[in-house]
Amino acid sequence: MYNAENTPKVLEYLRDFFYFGTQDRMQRAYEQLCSLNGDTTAETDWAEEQYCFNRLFVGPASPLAPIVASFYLEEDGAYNGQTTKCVRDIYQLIGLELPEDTSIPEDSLPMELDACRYLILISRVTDEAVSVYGYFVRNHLNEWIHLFLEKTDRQEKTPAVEYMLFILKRWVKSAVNELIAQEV
Amino acid sequence: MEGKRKKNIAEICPVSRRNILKGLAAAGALASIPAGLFKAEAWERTKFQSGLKTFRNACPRNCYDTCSIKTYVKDGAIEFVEGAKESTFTDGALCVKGFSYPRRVYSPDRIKYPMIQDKRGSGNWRRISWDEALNIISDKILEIQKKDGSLLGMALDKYSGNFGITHYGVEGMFSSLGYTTRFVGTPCWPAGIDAQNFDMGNMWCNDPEDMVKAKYIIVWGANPAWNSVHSMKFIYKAQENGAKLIVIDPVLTQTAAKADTYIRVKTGQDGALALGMAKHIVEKGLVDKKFLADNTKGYEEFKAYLDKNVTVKWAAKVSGVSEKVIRTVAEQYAKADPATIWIGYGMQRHTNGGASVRAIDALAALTGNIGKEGGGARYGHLATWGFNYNAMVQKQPAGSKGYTGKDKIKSEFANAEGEATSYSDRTININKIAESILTTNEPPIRLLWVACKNPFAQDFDRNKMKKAFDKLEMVVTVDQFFNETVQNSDIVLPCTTLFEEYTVNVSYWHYWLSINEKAIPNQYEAKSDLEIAALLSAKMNSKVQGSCTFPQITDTKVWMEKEFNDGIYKFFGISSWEELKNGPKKAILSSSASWSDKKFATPSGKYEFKSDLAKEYGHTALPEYKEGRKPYNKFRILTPHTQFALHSQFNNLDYMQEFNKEPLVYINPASAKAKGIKDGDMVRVFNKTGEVKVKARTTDNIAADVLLMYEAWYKDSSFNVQELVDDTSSDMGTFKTGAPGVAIHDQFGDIMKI
Repeated sequence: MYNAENTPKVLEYLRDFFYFGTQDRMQRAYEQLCSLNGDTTAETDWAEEQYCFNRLFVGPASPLAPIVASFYLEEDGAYNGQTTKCVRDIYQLIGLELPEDTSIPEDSLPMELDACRYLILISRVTDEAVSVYGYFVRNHLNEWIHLFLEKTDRQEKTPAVEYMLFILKRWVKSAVNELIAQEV
Repeated sequence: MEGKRKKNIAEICPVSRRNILKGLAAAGALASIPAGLFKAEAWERTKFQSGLKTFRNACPRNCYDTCSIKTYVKDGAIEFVEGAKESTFTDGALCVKGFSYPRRVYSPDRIKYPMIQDKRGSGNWRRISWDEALNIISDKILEIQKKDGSLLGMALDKYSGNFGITHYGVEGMFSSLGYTTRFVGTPCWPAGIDAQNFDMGNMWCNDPEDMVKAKYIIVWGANPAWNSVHSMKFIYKAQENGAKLIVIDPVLTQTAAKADTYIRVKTGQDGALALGMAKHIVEKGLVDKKFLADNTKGYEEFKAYLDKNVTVKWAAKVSGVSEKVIRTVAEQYAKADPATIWIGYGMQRHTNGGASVRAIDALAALTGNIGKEGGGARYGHLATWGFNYNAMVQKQPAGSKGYTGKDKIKSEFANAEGEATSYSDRTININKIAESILTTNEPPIRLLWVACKNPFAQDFDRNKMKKAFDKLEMVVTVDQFFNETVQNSDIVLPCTTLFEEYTVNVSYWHYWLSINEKAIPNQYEAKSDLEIAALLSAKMNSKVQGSCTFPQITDTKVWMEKEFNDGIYKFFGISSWEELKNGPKKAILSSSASWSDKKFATPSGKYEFKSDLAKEYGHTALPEYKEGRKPYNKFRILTPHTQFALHSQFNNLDYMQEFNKEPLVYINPASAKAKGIKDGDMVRVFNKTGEVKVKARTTDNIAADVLLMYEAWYKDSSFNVQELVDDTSSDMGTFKTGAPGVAIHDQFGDIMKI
């Protein structure tokens, strides 16, 4: 799947949806992804989409399903512990770092999606990137994304949020399956 | 959390950096990748393995201990924090709250972005940029200015959520916009401040580290084992040296458990107990005649008052402490040399709280324990707070109109002397916020700015507070976490933690000065109060040139540097604040005792048993007995501080929830039995102000006529002790803090099993 033509674009639109969190950027990412997948866009109230998005992922109240790996993998659920550090190390390994004016944890979902997108693209240049991607997806992303999705399953969701979560779930599943198949 | 385990990089990624770089050596490979969220770096960066950097921080919470912190940072993230060993007060250890700081900084619950709520209280929040947020706020400010001809419709509710000195820039931000409405006074300790000012001319306490020298220690209405843990080691050391520890408190606290003698006093009757002890000391001739003759004013009048009005029998009846105990403790205290009394803040939160503090001060004066190392009537001090308050002192824009009354802003921490003008800010008692918002007109309060404060959790009469907020046109709250105040706001702005900004801190208890360095980047889009003020200033001036005078400096280090002066340097024996990077510094004291030179700051220059100033402010000149608030219900309701929170901070963290899972109301077993309540039952606690539903816990630690609930904010819970606390004033506070305190512990109510 990761070599599939449109996977980097899928990851890009998922990334934008989860990263920017504003109505215009969410709407644009959603419509782009629907278009890419040949899916019809749902009739939806974008203000409600935003409220739902913030309730689930951002706040200001305690988010119901935080979009940070640490929340699911660290004992105390706080970010910038071992999980964040480990992910930061991976990024440094492949020559990525967040700009100085960006202070969100490296193990945030949009960052990890962007790193996957990047790895897929540079894997065309180096086989080592294929290995990094494989380990990152199987040994890290796959460890927490299901816990995250389980949390979202229990919550009411607006159509666009639900669609993006569905696509995310589908991509992780297919990426992992493909990696397993390649091992065999 | 079960099933969670940490991994290291090798488990996730066994590929070496060298291998991956080799493959990417092809020229132009990176350039072909579409831009994303990351910076794709040149390949020869060498910061992959970096060591720990250390930073100096200082806990800015409203706490006696104001700990000096050493913060260890790797790759821009806090690894861990510890107490600074250089401070003999902090002595290398933090409290349970301090050690939880990394969890607070990196909590997924932190407010991350500026957000706006579509319809207050709806829970429908949208993320907005800082520019949008400041645009909306500045438009509102200009609208108020246009509508009212002044900014008196703009009110600031700010207090002690962050005691970093530069945070007085929030007040500065308001001054830089014009004359506004300010909530003045303090819910915390004003009655005691006035009392000590009437008696001695200032609130100034011995160095807490000199408690080791005391031969007799009375902790009166304080619970340092929970709320000033670093002070306990000095008390323990004194005990090891043979000192006796007496704890006087309506509640058998953790501190009381460590005492040689615990005395349960009837709540609010500390004054009667102190006067009974004073009477016995005088009768037994145990007074320090030389001290009284040389250094006091009004002793004979006080003695005459005691002779005429006070007996030990009366004191026993009123205070609930037996005559024998009163006499024994009075004699032990008077004979010990030195002997000290620690006066807690809880015991002055009564309608007679200031009078009680004056009566206790009198004990220290009678026995010559004032101005003595290891002695003293310890309440607090602001001797180390002589900063420039540069961020606070800002000029109103030219042509600003304001209040034409006589009010002047007063604060126990900083009294900025502005230039005389025909206008001033409109001042309102901070302890009557809800009532004031509802009743203030011409102009009404339209915009409320909340910073370093959580009024819904900490202010009184929660139901009235809700009505008051509903009346406001706009509420802006600056905070780190979501709480009921944020829930009732229109805009929330995320603010930095102490690790994300420069500032400087001192204590109102010990004598150490600590720098607070920016140790990590601002998290998400959080900004410090000063950055917010600077950005608001830029936005205001972009709309109307000259409408805000606040300097547009966003670097908190620059602001911090401006707070120092030669007086501070001299007092702490340093030549530059840079020296504080090596660790905290202690003030150079000629003696560890306050008033060691016996030169009091009263009008007479002496300790004043008889204070004309007190009389001027409507009190008795002598420290006479003052009746407390009449009970209006079956039980007294006490809402003291918890071990696991600092007011409404920390209690939302997993660390604290582990130990303090849910709110409880504590009730004496006999009272519970009479009410048909068993341990663990859900009950209603109610009074004329409101009600709470909470689980009951039976305990002998409180008297039969008391219900106790710790004041706190529980995440995801509507429990709020302010449902039961009204805004009745304490007797003192106006003299030094601009408004009376509040009688937090003069509340009454009833309880019923649900």
